Amino acid sequence: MKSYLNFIFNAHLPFVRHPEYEKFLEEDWLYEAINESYIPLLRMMRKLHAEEVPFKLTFSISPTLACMLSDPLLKERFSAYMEKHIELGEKEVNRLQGREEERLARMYLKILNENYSFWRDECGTDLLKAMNQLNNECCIELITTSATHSYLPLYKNFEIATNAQIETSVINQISTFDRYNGGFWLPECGFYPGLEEILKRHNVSWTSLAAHAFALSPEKVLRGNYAPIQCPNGLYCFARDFNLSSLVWSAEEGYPADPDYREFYRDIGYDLPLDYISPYIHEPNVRVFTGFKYWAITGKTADKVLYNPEKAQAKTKLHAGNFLYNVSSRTRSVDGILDTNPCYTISFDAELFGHWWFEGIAWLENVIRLAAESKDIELTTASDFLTETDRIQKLTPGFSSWGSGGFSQVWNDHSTNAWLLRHCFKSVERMQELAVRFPAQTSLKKRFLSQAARETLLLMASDWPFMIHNHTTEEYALKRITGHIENLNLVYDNMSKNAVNTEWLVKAEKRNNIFPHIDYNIFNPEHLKEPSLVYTAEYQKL
Amino acid sequence: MLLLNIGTLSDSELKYMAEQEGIEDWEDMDRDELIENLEELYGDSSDESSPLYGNYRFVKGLTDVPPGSISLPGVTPLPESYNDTDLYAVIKDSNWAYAMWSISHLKEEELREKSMNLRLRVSAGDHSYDIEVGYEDSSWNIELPWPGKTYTISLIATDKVVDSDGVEGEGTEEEICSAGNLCCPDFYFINHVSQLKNKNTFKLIFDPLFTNGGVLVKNNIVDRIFSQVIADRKKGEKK
Repeated sequence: MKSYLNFIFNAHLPFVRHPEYEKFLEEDWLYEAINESYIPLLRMMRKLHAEEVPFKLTFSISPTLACMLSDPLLKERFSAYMEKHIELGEKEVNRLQGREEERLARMYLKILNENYSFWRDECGTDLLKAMNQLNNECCIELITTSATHSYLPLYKNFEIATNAQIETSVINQISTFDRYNGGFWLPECGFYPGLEEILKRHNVSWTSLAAHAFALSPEKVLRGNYAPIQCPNGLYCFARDFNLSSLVWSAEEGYPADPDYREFYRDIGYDLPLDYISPYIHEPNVRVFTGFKYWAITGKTADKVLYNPEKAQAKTKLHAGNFLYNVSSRTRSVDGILDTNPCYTISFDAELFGHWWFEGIAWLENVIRLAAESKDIELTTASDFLTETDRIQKLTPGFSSWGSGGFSQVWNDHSTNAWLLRHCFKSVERMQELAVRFPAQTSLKKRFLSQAARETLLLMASDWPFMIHNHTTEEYALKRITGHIENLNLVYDNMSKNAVNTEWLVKAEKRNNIFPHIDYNIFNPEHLKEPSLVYTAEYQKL
Repeated sequence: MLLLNIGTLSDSELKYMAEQEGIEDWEDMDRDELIENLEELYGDSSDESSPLYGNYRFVKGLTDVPPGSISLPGVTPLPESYNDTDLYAVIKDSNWAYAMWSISHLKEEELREKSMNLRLRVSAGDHSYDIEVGYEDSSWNIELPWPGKTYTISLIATDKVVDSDGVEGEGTEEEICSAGNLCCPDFYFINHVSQLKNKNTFKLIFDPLFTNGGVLVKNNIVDRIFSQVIADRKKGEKK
């Protein structure tokens, strides 16, 4: 039997863009992810492609991330971020001269210079273009996710809002990339029976679900997660393989916890005296990660041993081999039981690779190289695999997510974030009401209402309740939620008085400039009776 | 996205975090106490999406957003309520939903004047049950005891009547607001555990749900199905 590996990487960050500040701390999430994950992943894939090593991987680029990656202001700020970090690298090389850590400082400086040069010179500051090229070469398959990474089961009773999330994202995908095969990453793998109808309306052909989605179906699943299923309406679904994903993802058993790998949390941003590090952290002396980390995980102790990159690289080869050994073992164990070649769907957040797990990209490269040499293991994408198999069961997956508890507990938690829901639902209703009361507006009012649509979509992001649930950047999440609701209410109140607050509009459009071509009429229930705008977008592209 | 393994931090970092978080007597605490307090504060992360990092990176103090600075010109603060009468309900997990409601000032005044009592009615087909609530309540966790049914949750006002013997009873009812279309999920294998006696079927379904170390994906229904299979097997072995 042959094993098919369907790797899916979810690249997503919430829309964080604050032109009103010279420097804004939460924007660093983007810069860190670009420098530590997206650029290194692209460089690795380009290298493999140049060497003609075959590979197939799937990347979901969230619309919020895509908008930020192409935003001129954020690009300018990323450039400043890189220059500042290169300056710190040079300072570190001098500080550590003659010490064991010096070669690590040099390593980081080299990576920073190479990444910056790749972004600026090779990609012309346009990472989406670089992704598009690999997409066109069919090395990767680019898919999308809901417009602002909204957790859709919360909005089950608000079809118009769910529809707006999906329609906006697919249109964004079609206009951003040359090729789109109809793959859709469900945020947090959140699915409920019925969602397939909205996805299919926008020509989505397949999606990926939580590990237990098939086991929790109201019908009997025949092949477990070893094969995709097809919903009665034709949408294909792939369920995550928890066993193989856990080899990377598990806190206890995962490869990234190996003592030889680099310790993420020991960073000079926290360890060095303020008078030295203050120009490279946030004002006023707010310590942050700088990316300069010299210690290995070692164990659950504060006494860390110095990081040894060669030793860590050797481990990535061992772990890649071990991963493929596990794949083969699983396949052998179902030989004679399964009536088709197994397809293992293995999905992760893209930022795990490089950012959290420094060696993760080297591990992935080794997996690809070893798989390329193997006759029994082949990397695939969902779209490609669907052309290879006819053993597909008709089944409706069960309500599920990959969050804690496996349902909606994380985003609907009465002790932390459930209070938000009434405001979110009321906002969606108000947006819908605006679209119904003021259809087909033009000029200033159209802009005003379309900005309200942007605010509504941004409010629906799964990131804000997630942060509140986990008590991480809780204050920021609260400010974002209240800010978007207040903005929507401003439009609601003004439109009720037949007025437009132009000062607000100009500033809001500049700040929350996501989805520049959005039409607020997508929130009008009448819109559900019309063909999806996705078909118009495809037609216009042709 | 911003998660932290607290146990790996240095003592000075732990103290810094404890100070920022306002933990009392942090200066006198040893390393283990600091970790224990911080872990308690940040809770556990055990979801499928992020189990790699047991706890959370300290970021609360990093948000340098001055109060009110997010607002744009003309924006007024978030209202405490919208002065509407409505009820929303959303499914939370396999057998719980979360309901939230509001009653407009005018309506509430009217109900109070009539000394009406409030209750939530949870109904699914022929089944229903009531939960008494007060005027001060605005949300409730609702149990959905009948799998596979579609539920409606209604806020009902009832008045009291006293019969000739002086016994209090229920009088007229008025539905204030409701939310429907709440589908409580049904799971095939919960009702057909015996089909998992077949070792091949069991293997196909459960092998992808276990780590190599034997940890099952965290979900109460999967756990129930698995436990039932094991219990049935043990019964079979005894026989």
